[in-house]
Amino acid sequence: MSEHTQKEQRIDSPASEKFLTFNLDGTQFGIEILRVVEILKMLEITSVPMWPQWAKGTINLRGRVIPVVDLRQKFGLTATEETEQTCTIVLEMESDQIGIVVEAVNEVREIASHDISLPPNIGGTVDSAFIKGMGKAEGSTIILLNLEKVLVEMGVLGLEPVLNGDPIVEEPVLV
Amino acid sequence: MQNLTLGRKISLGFGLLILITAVLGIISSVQMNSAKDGSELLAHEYVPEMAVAAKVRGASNRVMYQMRGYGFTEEERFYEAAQKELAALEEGLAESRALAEKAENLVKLPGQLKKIAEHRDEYNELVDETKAAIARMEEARGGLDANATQYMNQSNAYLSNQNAAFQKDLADGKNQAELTERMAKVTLINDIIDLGNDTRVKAFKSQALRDPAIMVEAQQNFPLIAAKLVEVRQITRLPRDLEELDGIKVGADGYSMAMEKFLRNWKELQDLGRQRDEVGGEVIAACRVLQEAAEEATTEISTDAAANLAVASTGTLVGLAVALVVGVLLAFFMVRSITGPINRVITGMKAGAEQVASASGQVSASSQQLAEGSSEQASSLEQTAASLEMMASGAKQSADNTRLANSRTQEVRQSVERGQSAMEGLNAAMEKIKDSSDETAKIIKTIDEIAFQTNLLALNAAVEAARAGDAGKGFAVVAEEVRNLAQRSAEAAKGTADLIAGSVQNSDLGVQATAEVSETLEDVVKGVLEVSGLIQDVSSTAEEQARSVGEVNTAVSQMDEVTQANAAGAEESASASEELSAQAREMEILVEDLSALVGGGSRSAAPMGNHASVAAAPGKGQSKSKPKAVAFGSGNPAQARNRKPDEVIPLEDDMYVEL
Repeated sequence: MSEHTQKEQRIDSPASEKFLTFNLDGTQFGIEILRVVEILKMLEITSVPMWPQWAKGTINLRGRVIPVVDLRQKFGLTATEETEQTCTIVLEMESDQIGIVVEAVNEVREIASHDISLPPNIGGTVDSAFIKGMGKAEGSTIILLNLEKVLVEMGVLGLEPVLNGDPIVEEPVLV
Repeated sequence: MQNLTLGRKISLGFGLLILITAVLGIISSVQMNSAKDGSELLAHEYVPEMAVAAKVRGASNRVMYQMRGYGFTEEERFYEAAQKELAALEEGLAESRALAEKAENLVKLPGQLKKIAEHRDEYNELVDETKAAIARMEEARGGLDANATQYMNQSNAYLSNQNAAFQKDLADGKNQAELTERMAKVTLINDIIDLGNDTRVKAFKSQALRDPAIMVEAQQNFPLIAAKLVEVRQITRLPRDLEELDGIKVGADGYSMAMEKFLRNWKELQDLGRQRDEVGGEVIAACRVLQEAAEEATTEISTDAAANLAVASTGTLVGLAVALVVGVLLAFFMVRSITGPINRVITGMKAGAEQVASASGQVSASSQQLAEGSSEQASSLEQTAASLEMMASGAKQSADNTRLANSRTQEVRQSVERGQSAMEGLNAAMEKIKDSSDETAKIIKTIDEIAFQTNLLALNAAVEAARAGDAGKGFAVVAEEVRNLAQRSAEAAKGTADLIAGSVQNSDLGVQATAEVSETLEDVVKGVLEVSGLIQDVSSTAEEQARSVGEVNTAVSQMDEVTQANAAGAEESASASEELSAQAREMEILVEDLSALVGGGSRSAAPMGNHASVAAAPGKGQSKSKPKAVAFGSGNPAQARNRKPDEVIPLEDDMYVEL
């Protein structure tokens, strides 16, 4: 809880923050722009055996092998259909880089801090921890993702151990 | 025999007779020919052979005769005659040779002729020798005379000398011894003279008697003479006397030699005569051979000819007898077989004539009706013709109309075809539009892609700008602008793509519509073609109809003509039927004649029946045939009405049975 508050505070601190928005199943999501390394067209993905389905495999980005995650599948949806607009967003997580496949990249949006509200709490066991906040912009709402939660706590960033040989138990979180 | 035609029967009969005659003629001719050949052989070969043989033989005989005469008499005329006869012999031989060359059957002739020629040559040599011998004899005879004369002259001289000496001695009165010696001398010389005379007498006698033996006897005097001469020489002393004695001696020797020579020649002549006879005999024998051969052949040929002629004569007689018998039989049967059918024909013709007469009446009536019917038909045909004219004009018009319709249909069809080709052009244009739309769509897509990538670049730039913090703010603005441009270009591309999609869709619809129109047009073409075909059918049918109507019209006019002709013909046939009746009558008369010709006795009975039946027939004929009925009625209907042809000619049936 304390960590959560910490973050809100961090959000609150500047007057505004820039987010890269993208679409996923009709919903707009936003990620902090400072996390973004590069937006790529779809590259060839080398699938890796024993990885969970949402971990699509690895890409070779200028000689660097980067794991790629299908966010739709991660969120319990069907696998992303590849279109002309499908993109891979390469993120910088701590020391690792990771790619996420999204349906379409929208824009870089600056959202004022006062326009960001806390994620709605509907109670029960439903975990809304992976949502950093809900950004409001021109009548629409952007779900701002807490990438650490999404990728680390949900086991995405634990892929390295997988690569090292430890099998990863299926995440039941969103299901 | 019964089934044959009359002509065949007659031909057969005469043929048979001719055949027999021909066979007879051929046999006789062959035999005669054989006899003729024999006779010709006789005339040309054997008789001439005989003749030439006889000629040669006669000539030979005469030659021999003359030569014998020449041999005996030594007279030149015999020799000349013999030469003449030899020439005759040559002539005969030449004839014989000619015959031998010409004749084929004279086998012996050439051989004998050769023999004769050889003998003749031999004989000629003998003749020459004979002549030479005779000449030599003449010479010898001359020697004989000369020597004899010398002998006698010398002897006489010596004698006269002695006689003179004796006279002187007597006158001188010589002594006894001298006188005796003188006497002896005279006596001796007288003996010598006597011997000489005797010899000469004998020589002449021998020649006169043709007896050489006498001359041989005379030769015996020469030794005596010689002895006497020796004796007288012993007592002769005077040289003159001695000389005379020498002369006597020479004469005696010459005489002896001449006699010797004469005798030798005489003997030779006699031998030649014998040889001549022998050779001549050979020639004559050869001639005899020829004559005999010719005689033999002649006899043979004559016998053959006689036999052949006898055969020919017998054959001819037998053949004549056969031909007579066959001829009589044939004549008998042929007459029977000819009269039978002819009688049947007569019967048939009679019945036919009756029927013709009755039929001609009916024909007359029918002709009348036909004439009436024909005129009615003619009027209805005129009406028909008028209707047909109308029909024909109608058919012609409809044919014209269909022709017009046909041409219109052709035009429509051409228009539709043009439309079809235009549709094809349209279709191609549509396809082109579609193709270019597709191309455009591709370009738009490329633009869209560029826009997307520009967007991505702008975003990346924005990300970089954000990362750069405040330093990147201006860059962020540029990136934003770039992104906006990319977005707008993407939107524009999207709009264009939508428009092009719409246009592609529309052109697709256009192509589809064109295809439908094309299909419809094809249907139209098909329909037009069908219509055109139908119209053509209709047109041809109409034309056909028009033609048919024309033909019908022609036919009707022809029918009209025919009907007219029929009407006229009916009139004519009515009069012709009358003619026919008259001719039937004539035919009856002819049949009567024929009947009389065949049967003889049936003439009077035959004609009546026909008249009656003919007269009955024309009763049916109406107005037209009346005159004929009258004409026929003039016969004697009652008399022979019920007679049948069989009664009229009663012979036939039996004849048929026999034949």
